[in-house]
Amino acid sequence: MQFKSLVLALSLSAVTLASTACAITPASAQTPADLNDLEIAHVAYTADNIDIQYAHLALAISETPEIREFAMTMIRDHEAVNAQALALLEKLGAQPEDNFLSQSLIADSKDLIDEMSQLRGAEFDKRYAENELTYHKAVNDLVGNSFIPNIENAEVKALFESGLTIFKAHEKHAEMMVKKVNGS
Amino acid sequence: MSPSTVKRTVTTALCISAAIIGYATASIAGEDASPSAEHKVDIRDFLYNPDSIKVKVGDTVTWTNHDIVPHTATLSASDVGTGPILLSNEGSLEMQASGTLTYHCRYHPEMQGEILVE
Repeated sequence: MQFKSLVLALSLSAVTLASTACAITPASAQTPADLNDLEIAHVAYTADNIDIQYAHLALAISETPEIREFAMTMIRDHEAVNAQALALLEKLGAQPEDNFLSQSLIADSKDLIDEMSQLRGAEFDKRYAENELTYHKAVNDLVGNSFIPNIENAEVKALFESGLTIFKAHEKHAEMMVKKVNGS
Repeated sequence: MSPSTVKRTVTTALCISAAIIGYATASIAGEDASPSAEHKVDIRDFLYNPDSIKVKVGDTVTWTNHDIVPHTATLSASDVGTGPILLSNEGSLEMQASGTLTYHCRYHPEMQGEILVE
């Protein structure tokens, strides 16, 4: 199965390139480790919205109760996180800043939505559940290893730490969904 | 366990006083004057704390959610629950029969707790 460049954008960029580029100090952010707090906030908001879009697709296609419940949880939780993030940015008088990683995530998600839109029944459920597991693993790696250590604002850092707890729970839930759709 | 063995009272922070007053009034009006207690369970970081409590028939268990995302406390056997509890809000269930009740979050099934009703 091809998992497109989502993993490349998140895991590879976050882990492999981050440490290398730190010593180079490029003029503009080209790796997750170089992003400032407002760019990180933009990535997180974008990643939340992407998962919400996947969930809406699942609700439109899947008839499996467990998949639909999971999708509704993803919408509910990611919207709650985004609401908190926007409230914090408003309090700080700041605006999230678009960046290369947000753009990469959006481009990858469009391809994946096109692909999943063609699937039906068990094929869709399997693809959706497996992507949710892959996606949350990649995001959690990025947030835990690249974002949180580099966030400067204490309130933003605390929000990301709360978010990581939520997304790790989603990862566990996604593991359960993968086992479910694979019949194990 | 039938749904009638648990009385659901989902409240917001603003409604708690009214709910407590209402419940107290109901207890005073009834024949059984034995005092009932309220037991608090915190929800934080996708965990119920404490995750196991002992209560008596007639007691109320109140969950307070400290997480950004909504949670529930839903009895596994009957599917009766608090309904969604938003950040900084509370949801309550009154225990009306003895037994061991396991419960979970409807949205996050990995979250589980237990109530021993004596």
